[in-house]
Amino acid sequence: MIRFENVALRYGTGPEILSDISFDLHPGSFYFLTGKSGAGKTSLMRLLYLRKRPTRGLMTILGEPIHELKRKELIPLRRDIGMVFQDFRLLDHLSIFDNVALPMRVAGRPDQETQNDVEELLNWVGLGDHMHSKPPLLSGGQKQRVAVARAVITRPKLLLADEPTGNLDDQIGTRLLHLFDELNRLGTTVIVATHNMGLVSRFGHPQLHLSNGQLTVIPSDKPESLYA
Amino acid sequence: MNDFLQKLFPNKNGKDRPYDLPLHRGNGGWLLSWIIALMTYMIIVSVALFMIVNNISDQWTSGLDGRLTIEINHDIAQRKDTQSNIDEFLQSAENTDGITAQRLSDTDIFSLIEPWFGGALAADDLPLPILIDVEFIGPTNQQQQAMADIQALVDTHIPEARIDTHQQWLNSILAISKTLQLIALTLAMIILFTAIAAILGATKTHLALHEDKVDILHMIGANDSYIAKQFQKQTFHLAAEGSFLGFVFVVITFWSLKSGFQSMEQSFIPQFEFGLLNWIIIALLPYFIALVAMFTSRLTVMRSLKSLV
Repeated sequence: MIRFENVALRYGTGPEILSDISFDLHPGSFYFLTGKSGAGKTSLMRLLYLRKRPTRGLMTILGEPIHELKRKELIPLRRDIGMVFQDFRLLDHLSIFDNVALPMRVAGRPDQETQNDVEELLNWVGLGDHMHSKPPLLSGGQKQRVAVARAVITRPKLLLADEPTGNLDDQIGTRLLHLFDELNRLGTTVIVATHNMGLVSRFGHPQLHLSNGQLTVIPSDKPESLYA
Repeated sequence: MNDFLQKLFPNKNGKDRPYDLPLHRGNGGWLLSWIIALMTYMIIVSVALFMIVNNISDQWTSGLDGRLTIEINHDIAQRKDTQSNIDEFLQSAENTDGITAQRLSDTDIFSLIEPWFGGALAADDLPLPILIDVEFIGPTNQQQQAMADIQALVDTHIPEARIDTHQQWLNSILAISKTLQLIALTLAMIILFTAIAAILGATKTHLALHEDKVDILHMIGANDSYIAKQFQKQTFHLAAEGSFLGFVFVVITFWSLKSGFQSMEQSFIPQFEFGLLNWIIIALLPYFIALVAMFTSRLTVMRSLKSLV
């Protein structure tokens, strides 16, 4: 599903933010990406959602060797990756419905199918009554649910979330993680970048831990050991 | 005005839904519309100037082509035998194939010089020459022979007369009209390139302003063409508004000019009328400008997006 072999990333001529990252994730797995601020979580996420190419190393995502793919060949791959950000990144001038429908329209899905799927999903995340509202009118928790709905509307094989609970209180954050768990049970591979170790220990999924640009895979039974 | 344009050109991304990127009038798009309106106005006026000069020079050249004038100056015209010589010339010309010749009356000659001297002068006040208008009525390939015949007749009957083939006049007129046409076309091209530069600048500004939103579209799997379409549709929309406005201003200007010329009793400037083809070109120019704006926007976005992974 996802394989990194000695992957490194640097910005411009600066130092390597990530060095010799190697790991292998299987389909349907759920991982937390942890590490202190500046450890390189966002940079690793950028590699995963194909916003950056590695400076060196071999990277395979959804079975595709990224280093071999041309620019336009990355486009269909992106449609199989859902992404949720801490700051939601919704388009404020569009309604909730249009925000969630965007990935389907981009993929050229028929209007009727888009209409049905978006309505169904918005009802599922509890925003059926807010379809025609615009993001600035929603609370943080509601915005995050819209962001999740947009990320999963095309049933992606891989769901990435970069600090998705960072702007939410604990209770809403926990509910959001339950939502990710539910999507994971439906077969979606999930990677959640977070520095909230309380959530990590509560859900007990394995971790990809980043420290000084190096990555360690930590099984689910010992999440706190590196923070002692 | 903006409300009116909003109703005339509803700003939607088709099927009654908004564009994915908010490049609307409220975000400075109105400025682009007005720039395009101004550019459209100037381009159409330049192209119209080209067509007017072309039409006028056509009128002049077609009126003089295949004709010549025989001029007998006032002093020679006063001689006793001149009249009989002219009559003999006209008689001989009438018997020559491919030629018609007609002496202009004093009234005709006076009407020719009236625009310069006004209507207050009497015919006796000026030493008017005798003018004979000759027209070649045969096929074009026989005009050279007809010309030689005329020369021979003039040499025989009125050798003091001067033959004016209007060539010098025609050459001058054609040189001036070609220069004016070249200036008009150059002006239109310069304005068009300026418009393209303005659209390119506006598109780049919008790309920078909405970089985060473009990034979201890119991230969710939009290809370059999809993103470029967002820009090109809205640019076409804004440019169509602008060029429509420019066209309206042009129509008002033409109408005012036409009314102004018609109100003049006498004019040195020949009356100009646009033909159907001219009007079709003028009517298509705003659409052409909107299309140029649209493609400029598309190419700018496509080129800029190449920098994304």
